[in-house]
Order: sequence, then structure tokens, then C-alpha cells
Amino acid sequence: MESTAPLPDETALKNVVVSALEIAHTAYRPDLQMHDVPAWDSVAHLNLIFAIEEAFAVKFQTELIPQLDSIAKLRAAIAQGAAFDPGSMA
Amino acid sequence: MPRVVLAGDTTLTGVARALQKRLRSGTSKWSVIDSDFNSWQREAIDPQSQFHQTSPEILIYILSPRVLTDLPDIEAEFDVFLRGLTSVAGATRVLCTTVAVHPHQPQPLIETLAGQRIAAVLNTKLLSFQEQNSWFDLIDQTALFASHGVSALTDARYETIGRMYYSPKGAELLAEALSRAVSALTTSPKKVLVLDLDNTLWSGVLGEDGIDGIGIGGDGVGYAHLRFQRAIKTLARSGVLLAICSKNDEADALGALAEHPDMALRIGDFCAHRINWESKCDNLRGLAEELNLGLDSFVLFDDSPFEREQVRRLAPEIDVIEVPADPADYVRALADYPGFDRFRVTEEDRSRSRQYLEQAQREALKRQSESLEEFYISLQMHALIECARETTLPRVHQLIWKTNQFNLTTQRYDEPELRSMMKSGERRIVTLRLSDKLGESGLAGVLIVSTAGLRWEIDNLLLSCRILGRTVEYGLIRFIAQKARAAGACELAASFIPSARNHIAAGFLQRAGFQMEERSGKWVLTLDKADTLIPKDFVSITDKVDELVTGE
Repeated sequence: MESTAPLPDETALKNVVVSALEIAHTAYRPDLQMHDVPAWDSVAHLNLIFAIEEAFAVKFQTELIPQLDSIAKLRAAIAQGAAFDPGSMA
Repeated sequence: MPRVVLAGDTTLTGVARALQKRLRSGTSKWSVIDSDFNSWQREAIDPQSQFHQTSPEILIYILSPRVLTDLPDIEAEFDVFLRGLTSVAGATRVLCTTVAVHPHQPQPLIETLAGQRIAAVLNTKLLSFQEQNSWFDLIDQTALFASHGVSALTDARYETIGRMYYSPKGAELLAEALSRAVSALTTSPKKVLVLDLDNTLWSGVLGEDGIDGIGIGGDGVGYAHLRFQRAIKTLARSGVLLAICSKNDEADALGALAEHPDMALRIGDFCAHRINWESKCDNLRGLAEELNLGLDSFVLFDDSPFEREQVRRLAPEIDVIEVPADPADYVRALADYPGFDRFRVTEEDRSRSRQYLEQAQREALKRQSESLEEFYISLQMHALIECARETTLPRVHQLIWKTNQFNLTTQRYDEPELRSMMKSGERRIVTLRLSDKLGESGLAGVLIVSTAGLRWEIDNLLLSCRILGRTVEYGLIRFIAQKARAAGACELAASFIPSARNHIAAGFLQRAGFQMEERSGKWVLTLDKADTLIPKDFVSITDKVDELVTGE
């Protein structure tokens, strides 16, 4: 089921992350985690979630929002929407 | 580095970041700090609060609609809040949002209205507090909700996660409104709105369509222009001067403004005009000269993209409003332009336009007079000199910040500094109000002087440019010299600090009989010779100053 969901465009994802977290393009890696990036604090996280929801026309459940703490989880959550289970990637 | 502290009833970190980002796009490097969560009631009174720890230039209270529903006795708590606020009086400028109602209530037909009732009570308290305290101003939160809607400003999920009533988007919109308010507090507003005529004040081209063919009032696009004229009139009532700059036949244009039955604006609403076929830039410079104002006080509203582009390029000091293609959007464009923003309108602001018209009459009188002396005498000038009071302080503050030309030191003081000066008695703030047979010029002169000992020191002297060249400056110096002498002083000292704009005041001290004292670099007037040294003035003076001498 997971393999059939289309993944979000990588460049679009990168642009949203870079602009929401206000980090340099060079600081971006596709496997970034929240705790690797000083600018990615709890407020920046909400800004990032908001920006992603706007850019990819998705809406995450409240409970899920704090758990999306890496680019990998964000990518999967965008692709799978409500079906995404963060436990599967922990 | 100027600072802003945000206090409120909800998490404001996102708002603080968004606001700091906006404010830093200007020249000042603002830092914006959000205080502890739900600190609004103790921010002013708790010595450990962010406000007391940081002593910011500006303190902003953001009260979310949740205060209406989540606090058991908000009316009583509000009274405590406002009482606490009076303890910060004078130290900082305070901004506060008004209270708005969150629309998603259970039993909405009853509860939203009940909320409106309490909100009205709270907002009335805030408004009267603003009226009584010149350091406290309000930001209309209901307007913010009306413009953007509750779903843009707030999101229940973010509120759930972080007690963050304003969503990231809401924080951005709130920061936009706050940064506009901070600019209004920290920069002086533009003074003149210059308007084009054809397709700006009315639709059509007067020279081709004739007075009966242009569109103003009635139905259709003329109605849009009428709304625009009314909006301009509202702006003018707050002290913005209006001028016309138009490529047109002068007699026809003035005739249309006088005779067309549907105009909201008449020629008497404009303090100057340039209606001819010269270039806009030359005309704008001419208007600046005529009104004795810098080009950077001017704002242009002109429907022609060509004219706008030319003015932007050749007179970049002038703000040029981007005019929408559809006249129905003109009012919005004017409202969105922040340069005229002000929180308070003083008596002087309201009468400014009339004063410029009187000034034009004075110029005419001067041309008719045989000699300058005859002109001065014919004006029958009268000055009221008194010490600054709480009621005149806002105008004193305004003059200190706005006067660039006749300003000896361009020393700017904010209101708290002026207020503590008034209280401490170390220096006196003397104000001058001028009237003549043509009208009142209002409070137009400020002199700050320290009055201790044998040498009185003028900290600053400034006169609004609208009363210059009428010997008032000599009258004021003579007055102070006489006061000093009567108090037993021997000398009056003053400094001149050149700025980019105050060359008009450069030779004043010398002309008034002051001599350069080499060792101090100051200008000094010997008081026993003052009467003969100070040039003659033609101003009769009413002395309403309290004791000027500093107590022992």
C-alpha cells in the first residue's frame, strides 16, 4: 500500500523546508532530522507544517503534527496523508 | 538596538518572530521578544517580567478572543490590568489590541452576541484609557478579523498543540498589522497628498468631455470617484494637506471644482495647486517650495502610469502610490498606503490646511506692503508663551520630531523624556502659540532651557516653518533673556548643531546678538546688553509661564 502512494516532488519539498526553516539551500539534506537543525525548533516546526500543508494541499491530524520530526516522515506523510503511521518509521 | 516586548494570553513566539523579521527589513535593527505565556496581567507590575527586565521602547499587548470566554470575570480583571498599566506610564509606548469575538461558539445565536456585549464593554474601557494616556494606543483587532477571517487567523490544531491561538498564517497577518503600527509610532507621517484630476478625482478628461461629461457622483464609475473624494476628505480632516498637480486648463479645472454639483472636494479643500502643462516633477518641486516642505513629505496619487514612473525616477523622495486600474479600488489603495498613519490627531493637525491658506494671504499682504516693517505691524502678531503641560505635550513632541529647518540642535526627545524633564524641573520646556489678524498658527515654537545659576542654557529652540520670517524668534529670545535677567542670571548660552536640513537656523544666534565663546564652543548672549543686541520684533506677548527658575 505504501509503495503505491506518489512521493512529493523533491525540489518542491526542499524549497518549502528551506524557506520555512530559514536555512541555507546548502544546509538541506533529504534525510534531515529536527534535532540536527538548530533553527528547527517547535515554533519553526509549526511554521514548516503550515507551509507544507499549503504547498501540498494536505492537512495533518493534530496528533500527527509533533511527530513529523524529519524530512523522511514529512515526505511519507505528504504521500500517504491520513494513512501515514509514524510508528512504522520510528 | 530598539526593542519590542509582546505580552498576551496566548503563545506569541510565532508572532514575535514574524514581527522581528518585518521590522528588520527597515533601517533599525529591532529585536522583538515574546514574554511568558499568559503574562498580560502581570507584565506591567511584576519586576521579574520580560518588560521590566528588558525596558523595551515599545510594549505590545495582544489579547486573543479567548480572554472573553476563558476568564471567569474578565471585566474585573481588565480593570486590574489597566490599573497596573498606569505604573509603566511614561517609560514606554504601549500598544494594545482591542478585543474581538471568536465566532465558533456553541449556541452561536446567543453566545456570539453575549461576547459582543462584553467585548464592547472592554473596548470602551480601552478607548477611554487611550484618551487619557498619550503613551497608550490601540490596534483594532476586529478589523483584522473582518479583513482576513477567522480561518486565516487561527487554527484549532495549532492552538491545541502549542496554546497558539494565532496560527502561523495568523501570526504573519498580525505581525503585518503590528509592524504598520510600530512604523506609525516611530516615523513621522507624510504631510501632503498630491492629486491628479482627470481619471483620478473624476472619470473622463475635462478638456475633452467638458464639465457635464466628466463622471463624478451618480451611478457607475462616477460613484467610485465620489467615494474616493470622500475618503480623501476624511484623510484631510486628520491633518493631511491636499494639493492638485494636473495637466489641464487651470480655469476649466478650477471651474469644475467650483461648479460641478456633485464634487465632495472643493477648491477650498486644497492648500495649493499646479494646473498647467509643465512636467509633474517641476510642479511637485514648485509645490514643495510654496508650502515650504521637503519633497519627502509628499505623496502622489495619479492614475497615469507614465507620470508615476517619471516621478519615481526623477523625484525618488516622493512616495508614489501604485494606483489600481479600476477606480472602484482607489479607496482601498489609499487605505493600504501606510505613510499617512497616525494614532492621534492634534488640534494643529486639524487646522493645518486652514493655516496654509492663511499663509498664502500673508504672502499676498507682504507683497502689498510698502516695507517689511509695515507688513509686520499690519499682521498684529500676538504670542502666548507658557510652560509645557500634559495637554500640550503631544504637540511639543510632534514639533520636536517634525521640525527640521528652524531647529538649533535637532535634539529629539521622546515623550517619556519630555515628561520627566517637565517633572524634574532641571530644564524648562517653554511653548509659544502665535496668532495674528489672519488667524491662529497654534503651538508653533518650543524652547528648552536650563535655568540654574548665572548662565541659563538653551538646550534647543525650534520654530515651525509656518511662523518663520515674522520676527517671532527674536521676540521669544528677548522674552527668555528678560526672564533670565530678572532671575539674576548674566548670560544666556546656546548651541547650534548643523544638520542636513537646518541651515535656515545657522546664522540666527549671531543675528540675535550671541557671540561665539571659544573655550566652550557655545554661543553666548550677555544679558545686560540683550535689549540692544536682539533685533526688533513686532510681537506682543502674553506671559503665562510659571516660575522658570529652578528651585534650590
